[in-house]
Amino acid sequence: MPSDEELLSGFLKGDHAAFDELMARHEDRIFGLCLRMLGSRDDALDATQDTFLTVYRKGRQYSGRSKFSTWLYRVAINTCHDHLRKRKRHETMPIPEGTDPPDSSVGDQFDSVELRPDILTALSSIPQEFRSAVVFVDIDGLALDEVAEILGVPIGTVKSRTYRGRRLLAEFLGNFRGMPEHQRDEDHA
Amino acid sequence: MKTMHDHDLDRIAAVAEGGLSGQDLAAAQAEIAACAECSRDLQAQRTALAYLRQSRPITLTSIERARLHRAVHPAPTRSRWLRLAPVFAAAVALVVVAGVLLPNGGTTRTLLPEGKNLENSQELGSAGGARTPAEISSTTAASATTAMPTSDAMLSSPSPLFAKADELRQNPPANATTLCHDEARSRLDEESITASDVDYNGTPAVMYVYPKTALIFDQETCAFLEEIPADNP
Repeated sequence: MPSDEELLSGFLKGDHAAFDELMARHEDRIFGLCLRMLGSRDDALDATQDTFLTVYRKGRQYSGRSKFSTWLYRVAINTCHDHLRKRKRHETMPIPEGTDPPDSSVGDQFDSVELRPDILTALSSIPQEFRSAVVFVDIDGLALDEVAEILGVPIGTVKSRTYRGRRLLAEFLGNFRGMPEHQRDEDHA
Repeated sequence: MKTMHDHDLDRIAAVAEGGLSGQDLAAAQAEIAACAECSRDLQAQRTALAYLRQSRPITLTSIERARLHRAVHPAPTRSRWLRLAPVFAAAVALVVVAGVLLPNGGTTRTLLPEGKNLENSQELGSAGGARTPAEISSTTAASATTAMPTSDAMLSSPSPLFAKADELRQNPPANATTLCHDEARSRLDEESITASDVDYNGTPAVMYVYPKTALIFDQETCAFLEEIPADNP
């Protein structure tokens, strides 16, 4: 089976079937990334489309220094960020410092599927820089160094964003019941 | 006083992720247990991780996949003349047939793209012999990436579309259609001047007009139908 890099090379030489094969290999994963970043299937489909159009038009810019999939993820995440910037629905919020961690009893409350918020809703509650790190590391299971390359940041930054993204996500889950935190604390007291 | 929490987030994350074992794990757990903030953070990391790890793979629906493929289907990169080869072949065949049916250079009328009429069909193809690209370009610019029009219709079809594109370039309508716009944009990096509904061999189509070319798409499916260069004839 030809590698992604070989398929891209074939496409650049005029083999359109190679491009179709590249798409078939990656379209679901790219769509999944875009959906988790953008929160809507329509927007995710648009971003996926834009991502592959970029590959189609700018495939020659792939230098071969990283894996093709790393480059593709980078194109996709940049496309998602462009979409987010354009619609200005999920503007980057300042990193909340000193946020109180969630109630430690929160985890048990979400063992019931019925109580779980939709994961897209939960992801949309955290700033996009943290969201992308959490999606790449914890959902897609990519290695830290690959995520660092995709996002163009040091590995330490990926770790920090993932850590803080998880913390904010847990906080969101803790507040999900719709009960003000102080009231919930009072209930637990 | 610095706590473990101030400078060892990696360790908390490693415990939450299950990345430590044996003595390392026991030591880290002991340190975390001694720090209330660390303990809360560890619980938060575990809660989020447990939640995220239950995320299921996402796949496109068949409709979404079809939409994606239609939108991203590779644009033709072959040379224009290569794409038009079947049309040229048909045109040459037409000339040959005309030569057979009308011996001695009999007369037939063939409408050329620019609207010129040639009285002698043999002028189209050097008496049915091989034609140079220059001869081809001066007589035929129709392309048919889908259904091949019949011979006379084929030779005459570029004329109204070329004229329409020219007209739209000079007088863009105020309310241009945006149907297929993404598809059209994907074909060319430049923005179109305008767009308009047109009739394409009896099929409703939309034409996007660019400074040096025009693109025609099927109105219902946005499938790419034809490219008409501005320097056509």
